[in-house]
Amino acid sequence: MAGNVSTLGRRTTRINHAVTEPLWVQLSLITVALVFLALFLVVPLVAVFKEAFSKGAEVYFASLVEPDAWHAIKLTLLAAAISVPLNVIFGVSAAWAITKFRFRGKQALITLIDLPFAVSPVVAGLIYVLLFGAQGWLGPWLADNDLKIIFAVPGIVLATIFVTFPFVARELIPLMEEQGTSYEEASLTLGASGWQTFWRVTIPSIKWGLLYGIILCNARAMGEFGAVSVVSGHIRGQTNTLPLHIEILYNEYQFAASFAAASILAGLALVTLVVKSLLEWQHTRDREKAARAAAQQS
Amino acid sequence: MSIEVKNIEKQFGQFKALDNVSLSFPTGELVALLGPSGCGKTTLLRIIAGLENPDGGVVHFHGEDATHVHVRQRQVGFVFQHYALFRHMTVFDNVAFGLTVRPRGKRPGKKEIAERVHELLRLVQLDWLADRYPDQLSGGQRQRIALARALAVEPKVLLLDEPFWCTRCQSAQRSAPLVASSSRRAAYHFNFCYSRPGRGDGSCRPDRGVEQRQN
Amino acid sequence: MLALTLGLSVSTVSLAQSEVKLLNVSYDPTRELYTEFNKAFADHWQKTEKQKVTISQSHGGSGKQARSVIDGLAADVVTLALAYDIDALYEEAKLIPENWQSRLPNNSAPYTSTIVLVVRKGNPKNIKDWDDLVKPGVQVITPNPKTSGGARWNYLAAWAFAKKKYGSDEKAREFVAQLYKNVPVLDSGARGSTTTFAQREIGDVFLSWENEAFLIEKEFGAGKFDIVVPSLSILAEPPVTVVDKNVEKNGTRKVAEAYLKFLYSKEGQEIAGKNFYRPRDPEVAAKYAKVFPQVELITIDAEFGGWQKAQKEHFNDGGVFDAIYKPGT
Ligand SMILES: Nc1ncnc2c1ncn2[C@@H]1O[C@H](COP(=O)(O)OP(=O)(O)O)[C@@H](O)[C@H]1O
Ligand SMILES: [Mg+2]
Repeated sequence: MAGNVSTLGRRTTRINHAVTEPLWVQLSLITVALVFLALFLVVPLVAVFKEAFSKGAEVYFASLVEPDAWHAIKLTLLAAAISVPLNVIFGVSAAWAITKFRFRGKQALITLIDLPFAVSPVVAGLIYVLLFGAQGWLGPWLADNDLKIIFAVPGIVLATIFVTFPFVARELIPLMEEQGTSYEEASLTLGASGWQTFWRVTIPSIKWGLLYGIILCNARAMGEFGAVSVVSGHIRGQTNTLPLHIEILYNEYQFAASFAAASILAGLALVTLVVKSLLEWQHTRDREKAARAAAQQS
Repeated sequence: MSIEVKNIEKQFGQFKALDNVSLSFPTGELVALLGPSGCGKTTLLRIIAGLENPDGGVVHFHGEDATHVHVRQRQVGFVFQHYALFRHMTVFDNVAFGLTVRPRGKRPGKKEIAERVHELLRLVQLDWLADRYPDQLSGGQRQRIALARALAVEPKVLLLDEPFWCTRCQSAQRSAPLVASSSRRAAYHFNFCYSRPGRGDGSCRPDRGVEQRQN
Repeated sequence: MLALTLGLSVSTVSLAQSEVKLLNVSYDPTRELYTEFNKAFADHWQKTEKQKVTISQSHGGSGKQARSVIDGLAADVVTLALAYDIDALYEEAKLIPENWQSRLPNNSAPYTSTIVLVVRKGNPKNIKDWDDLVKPGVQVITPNPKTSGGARWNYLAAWAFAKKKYGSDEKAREFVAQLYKNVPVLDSGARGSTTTFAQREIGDVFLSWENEAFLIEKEFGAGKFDIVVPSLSILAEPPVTVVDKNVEKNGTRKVAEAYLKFLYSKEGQEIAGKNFYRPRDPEVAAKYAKVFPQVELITIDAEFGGWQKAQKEHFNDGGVFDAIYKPGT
């Protein structure tokens, strides 16, 4: 048994023999994929960092601690910190409702969840202007009560939530659909409460999908431009998020500063990806350890 | 514990899966539900377990109406056709699950749980797999783990859905006598259903077979 | 969400008397101007009124900025590109009185600007005036007037020049048609054209706002371009106003009015000049005469009967521009 496992392990490092395509097909496919990756991902990323440091590290850091930039960074993180958890709650509940229950209007709900993908972010922003703007439905009431939604932080957060809300649900629905309800049912027959079932069975079994959804959601929350641009009001040091700040700097010919800010966004994205890979790596390592231990015992 | 189902009706949309089904299973009996695929065996087991609500009729446990008792409270062990082992948990944690979710007062200590789990794993002859994950097991091994998991909470009724659908696998054949012996020893009430009469090796012949017909 | 909203609005309301906040909603190219001016005004206010004033800036396309103020962006003052955009504050939301433009001197425009010709260092094609732009072999860079507000000024300036020189609308039309035949790339916005000319180094002459032209020189390196002021150009009067509804609500009328008045002061005019806007004050203007050569300036109102009319005649679908500009010919 132990011998079997090790030969298997060795074999998987080579190209899989079960694949029947000739070698040149495999190689050219791999080359195409790598060239595309390099062209559309690596080169632009390198270019961003190169341009960011084009005037030296001093200018780079100065442009990040500059009050407007620093505020934009904080606002972007705040918007993500509010919208991502809300989206997780919404996404899990929606996916749960859609996949575990039978009810009327299910199709309508799925379509609604996709809405932010279908409408342009600019339209999403305008919806909020229509609702909360001074000329909008709730505008006069908000003004009378001295509440600010658009052209203030709440509007930015709302717009971010709107454009990101399909991410978690969209990631989870197919996963939970495929898994069905049998794990939850098994848990219930074993005496677990609904709450215990949710935390100990459902959540762990969708963990990877959820994590992936969160990463996508977070990336979009921090990177959103269109919808936020409409409701921001562009008040410097108050309602500019990082992407808006980058555009402003770029339009003012401050290329180094603009790419410095862009490199922060790119950096945040890279960090999330690294975290994800680390978690995945740890996960597979644990499993392999268990398999090895079991194999040794036999 | 005796089970009695009376006038059970179950409809899925236009399709009537169970039409006025009445059956009774006295305490300690090993009963096999037989019938062609799609005749409603799984549905009946699910209704008995409380995973499905009947549209009409009642389920009595030990003479008491259990029709509206929640699954959690029914103390029914259920081995699903595809086992439904928790993929993110080791074999050990799967078997221990039912014990660890008990309310604080009734929950055994860690050591006690470990002892109990290993005892059950020995019973299904898979003690050496405790640290593996379900997808590192063969089909028959999975089935035996699912059985151990169901037995861990000492259910009053044990329901097995198609326990021998995987009779091709050696391991499943090994599990057949196991099912019988372990459940008999524990004096569980024992039901199982399968589509064709079992490959009779005699070791787990049901006390009684009930033929269900497609309606 | 509501709690957050409340927290935010409370924080904006609970300002001590010793401090006051202003929001100036402006258009894109005024950033440097107001960065410097806000500092100067804050000092001035501290000195004269013993009060701290913090001024926030919002910049964007002029029309979009006006729209945001109408939708509730709480501007105490607006400093936009066109009177037309500020008129909307009255027409759409009655945020200001109809006669807003007569409340401050010079049509409420404390500084002006005009369209100039930016050429490459040493002016190799020897471009002196508008008629040099229609010569064969000269490449002109200007954005599409259908999509860019700035580009409409360029077009109308060329038109006005030709009409004056050749005496009729027909001749002006021929002249402008000829000019657009010399445009190799018609970008959709001013920013795109700037990049085309300054970074990609396409074209011999670039039509630009005077203040932007200086800015381009500053950003892309002095000594790379020359600025040629034509014999006739168009007068832009970027106007300013207090937004009455908002200052009433914020209790900021006094400081907002003082802020705009300060634009007309010697110090304010000085700052405008330094940031490449033509000062109104004759004395300060004289000081900057070298930077801003004399030029005959016409206005849209006098020459074209106002923006509404010019827009309809020249730039709307089926207008003159559609008739004279055929891409690829
Ligand atoms: N959730 C469901 N929705 C619709 N039809 C169902 C559902 N569950 C079972 N059925 C139908 O009810 C009938 C009985 O199913 P089942 O009890 O699983 O049969 P079996 O005897 O093979 O276990 C089948 O025809 C099946 O298609
Ligand atoms: Mg079945």
